[in-house]
Amino acid sequence: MECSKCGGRGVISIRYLGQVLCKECFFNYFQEKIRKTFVQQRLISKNDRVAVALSGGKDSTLTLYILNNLRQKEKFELFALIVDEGIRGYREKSIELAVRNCEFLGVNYHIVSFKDFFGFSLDEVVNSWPDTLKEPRSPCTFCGVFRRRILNNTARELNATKIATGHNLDDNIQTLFMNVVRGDVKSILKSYPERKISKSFVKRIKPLANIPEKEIAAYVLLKKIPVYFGECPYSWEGMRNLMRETINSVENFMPGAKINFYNYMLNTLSLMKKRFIGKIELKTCEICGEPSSHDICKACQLVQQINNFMKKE
Amino acid sequence: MKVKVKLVPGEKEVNVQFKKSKIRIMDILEDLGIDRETVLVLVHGELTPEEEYVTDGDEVEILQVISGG
Ligand code: SF4
Ligand SMILES: [Zn+2]
Ligand SMILES: [Zn+2]
Repeated sequence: MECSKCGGRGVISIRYLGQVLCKECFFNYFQEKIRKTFVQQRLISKNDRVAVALSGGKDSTLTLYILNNLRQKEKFELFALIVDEGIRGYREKSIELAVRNCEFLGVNYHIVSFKDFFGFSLDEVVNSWPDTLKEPRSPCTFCGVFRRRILNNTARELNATKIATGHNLDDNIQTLFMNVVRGDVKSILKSYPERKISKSFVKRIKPLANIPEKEIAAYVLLKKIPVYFGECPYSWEGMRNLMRETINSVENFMPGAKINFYNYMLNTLSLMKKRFIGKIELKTCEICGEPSSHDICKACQLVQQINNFMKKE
Repeated sequence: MKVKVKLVPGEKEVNVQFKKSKIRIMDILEDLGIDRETVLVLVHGELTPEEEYVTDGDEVEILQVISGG
């Protein structure tokens, strides 16, 4: 198939544009989209100190490469934060690739583990969590809460001004739908568009927020960037998988649905925010002192529960 | 026509058979129940749009690229 732009050999079909692109035209299209994001959202400013949350997977690795590339034009500091949740047979391999990429690019990195930070690995949590409990939890719930805590606190300690994550368009829409069906307006408002609600939180940026996951995979493959494509043994978060399938069905029926929906949400939320602004009140967690919407923050609540189960064993 | 399809990861190989002499990659995906949004398809090792035709003897690899974590 021919490239719709130059007639070269097409490698990817971008259905929402009604185009097939060759390697070069796809690179140009992709890079231009990202360049626009940086300019329009002013993601990076001079003298920033950016921590990339790096897992070794395609999204975060590409985020690292993009930011590193940008340093040729803009003056800012960059380092990587690698979180080791303690998932045997999975995380060792992805960390190995994460480290290899940092060394290849000459980017400093720090590895922080759940075990060192909280005293237990994710594997240990999963094994000690009783199935009989009323509230069944997916490992991703712990993983997400704890990972965010480690990232924020470590980035803050290391004087980072921003945390860059690899969240892509698909991730964002899935999360959004999950919050919508849970009726969780607060979570939606907190994350779209990024707004700082406490000075204890390091600002987050998502350079790939409007890029479909499939395009990221294609770009990484064509650029031959070494990334880990393995799957987490716990990645069976039922709700997210259901959302992924549902949203992809809609996209297949009507290409462009994902990006349209994302843009629609951004517009709606900026209006919603005006109404809700100031209504998100934060307290201080009685245990750890971090900002929280409850007296005891989510992370501390989970830690307490986990410690109880572990003692009983 | 018959095409050999390799599924990665897993390195599983399946043979798909069609009455027509050439078919689109998207037809193979549909036949296997794979959502095109979650994979990249290589034909003879080269990334290829799903609208492309393949025919007898073509080597097709389906890379599962969308995963959790
Ligand atoms: S899939 Fe879930 S458990 Fe695995 S790394 Fe991701 S969030 Fe953690
Ligand atoms: Zn072209
Ligand atoms: Zn706390």
